Amino acid sequence: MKRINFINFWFLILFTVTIWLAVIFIRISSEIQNFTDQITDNRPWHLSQFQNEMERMNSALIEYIHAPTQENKSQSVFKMELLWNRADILISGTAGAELELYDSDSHRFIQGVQAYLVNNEVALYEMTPEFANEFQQKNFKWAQTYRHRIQEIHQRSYQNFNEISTQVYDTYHITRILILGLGLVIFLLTWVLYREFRKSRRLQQMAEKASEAKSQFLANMSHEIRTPLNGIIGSIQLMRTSDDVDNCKDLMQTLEQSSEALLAQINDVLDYSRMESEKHVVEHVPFDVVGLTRSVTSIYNAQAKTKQLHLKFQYLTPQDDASNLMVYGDPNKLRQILLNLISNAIKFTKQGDVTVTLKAVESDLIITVEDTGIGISTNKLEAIFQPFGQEDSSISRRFGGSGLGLAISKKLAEVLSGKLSVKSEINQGSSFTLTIPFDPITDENNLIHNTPAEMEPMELHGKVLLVEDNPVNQKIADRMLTKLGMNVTVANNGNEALQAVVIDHFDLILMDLQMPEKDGIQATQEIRAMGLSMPILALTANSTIESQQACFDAGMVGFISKPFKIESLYSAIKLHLGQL
Amino acid sequence: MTRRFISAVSPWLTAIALSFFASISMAYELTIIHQGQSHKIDQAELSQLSSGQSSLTTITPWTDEPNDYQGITLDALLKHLGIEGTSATAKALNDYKIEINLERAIEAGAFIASHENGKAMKVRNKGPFWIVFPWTERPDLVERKIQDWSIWQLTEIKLK
Repeated sequence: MKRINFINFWFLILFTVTIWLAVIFIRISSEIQNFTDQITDNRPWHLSQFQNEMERMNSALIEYIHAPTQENKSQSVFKMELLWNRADILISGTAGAELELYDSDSHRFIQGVQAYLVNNEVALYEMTPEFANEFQQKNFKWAQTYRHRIQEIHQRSYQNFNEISTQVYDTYHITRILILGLGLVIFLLTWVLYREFRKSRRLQQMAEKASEAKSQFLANMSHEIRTPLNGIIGSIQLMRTSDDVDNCKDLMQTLEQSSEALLAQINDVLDYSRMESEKHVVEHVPFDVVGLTRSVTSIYNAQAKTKQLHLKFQYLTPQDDASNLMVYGDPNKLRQILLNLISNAIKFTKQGDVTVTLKAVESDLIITVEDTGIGISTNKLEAIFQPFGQEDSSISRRFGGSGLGLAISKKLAEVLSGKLSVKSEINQGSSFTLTIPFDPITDENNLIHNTPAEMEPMELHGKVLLVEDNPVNQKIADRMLTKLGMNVTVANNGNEALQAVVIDHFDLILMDLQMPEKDGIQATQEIRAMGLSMPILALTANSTIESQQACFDAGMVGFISKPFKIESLYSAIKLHLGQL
Repeated sequence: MTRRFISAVSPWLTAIALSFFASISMAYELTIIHQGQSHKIDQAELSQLSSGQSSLTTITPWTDEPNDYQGITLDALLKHLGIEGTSATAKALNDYKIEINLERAIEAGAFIASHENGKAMKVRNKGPFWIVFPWTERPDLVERKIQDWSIWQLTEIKLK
């Protein structure tokens, strides 16, 4: 938008300047014309010469009258001829025509002089002393009359000159300002162009950097995906050929960890790519923040032990006996941040401690994850929170990670209206501090203790319709449901599902969303249209807010994210089973 | 009888006096100075130098009608004298001086006139010599510089 305004502004200026230039051009042209006229007009010169010649002739005549020598006579005649010539010049040709037009009095006067000269030609050339006397008197009178006239002419000429000079001065003045203005405009234009050039260069560089970062990310990612996949494929191969039960159990663990790591990696990437574009819904449910932090920390106990690190959680509280702290908040997001921070701490520490501290300070909850690891250099402290901004590429090679964890954590912290900061020193260790607003639950009676679901036996009863097109997913889900104790019927797509619900009665439907021919949403709508009201759960790989809303609108009651564990399947079904 | 004699003779006397004075004016010369050397040429001689153009009919800014001028082009005169130069100072009888760019003037067709319509030019009629230009043919020559070079009552040309 700014650019459009600029362009309008520019055209306006250009237009104004063009008009101004045109005006100046016209004005200067008229000045040139003025001057041309001035230059070709040499009337004043001739008129004043006429006066000179009259005066000189007067002197010559007086001299001759005084001393009537031949020489003086010649001089007088000569001067007379000069005067006659001048008179002729003044009243003939273009000069004469102009004089008649502009100064008819002078024209008449000089015509009179010429007439006298013509009439007395003989006597003038003879120039007897007597005639000279007569002529001198005549000439003297002429000179007197003419002197006055000449003065007027000179005055007018001078005024004219002044006027023109002032005009010229004004024109020069305006021209100077115009040149200055033009100069400024050119300078501005150049500056703007330069800025735009710089901007486009910058944008180009940014694009190149982004592209580079993306390439590096892809390289990292493919490595991160291949590593656990190798673990999965390797473990399976080994298990095929192994008879040893313990060995198999071991390999099974590797298999499980690898698949979890793979899932985590892919989740990270998806999370991050959603990060920028979506609004996150912050939950506001009661939970025990101390308990959550403690349990998340304990997830890494095994890893810490393997690396011989001392992992500790402490809740700093003024009251000694407090072992829980109920707050309103979003436990899932908090958990995600803590998982990332503690995992990093463990990953980047070769020896020493990892300490997780929780304290409530006024209106904030402050959770600190401190380690004695390799540390982060001062100039990289900001970069690590950038996506793909691991300390350097060698780190990602040595320690793994997508480079997205901290970026996601930072964003999540912001979503929770808090912030994530770091202090670190190379080879001394790092300390990450998460600060989030503290919303305590005051009414203890309304508490629902969020004790983790212990290992209760997972058992379900009922008939379930599984609508899933992918055979692998089908097999896994079928086996899980059967294990849970349910009676499973399988439909390969939406159409089969519709046929099935007509024939048989089901307590629950698990509906895959992405299917050929008829997808999950449409099938659900049609089932509801039939008047059937059993709970329908979506099996979905995509859990955006929009898709969730679409599911609800179609008539579904809940979702299970793929890939799912049997525990998630159990809890989701348990929640909705029996609710019609 | 004396009176009759005088009255019979006076027109003749006038004529003689007139022609005497007329011939005085005919004695004017044009002096051309080049590298210290002077060449003098009078009106009659000038009009006889018929090498090249010897007559030019033209209007001028100072006359009401076109006139027939006899004389010689500046170019031809200089060639006749075997001299050349880049510029010259032209002087008139009333001491008026003007510097002429010879190359430009020759290119503009400068013509030194000594006779107008067959009659030797008198001082009172721009004589003895007047530098004119072919204004009828070339109206563009009515510019200030050319007009300044159109010196009348010319008496001397001093080359540089």
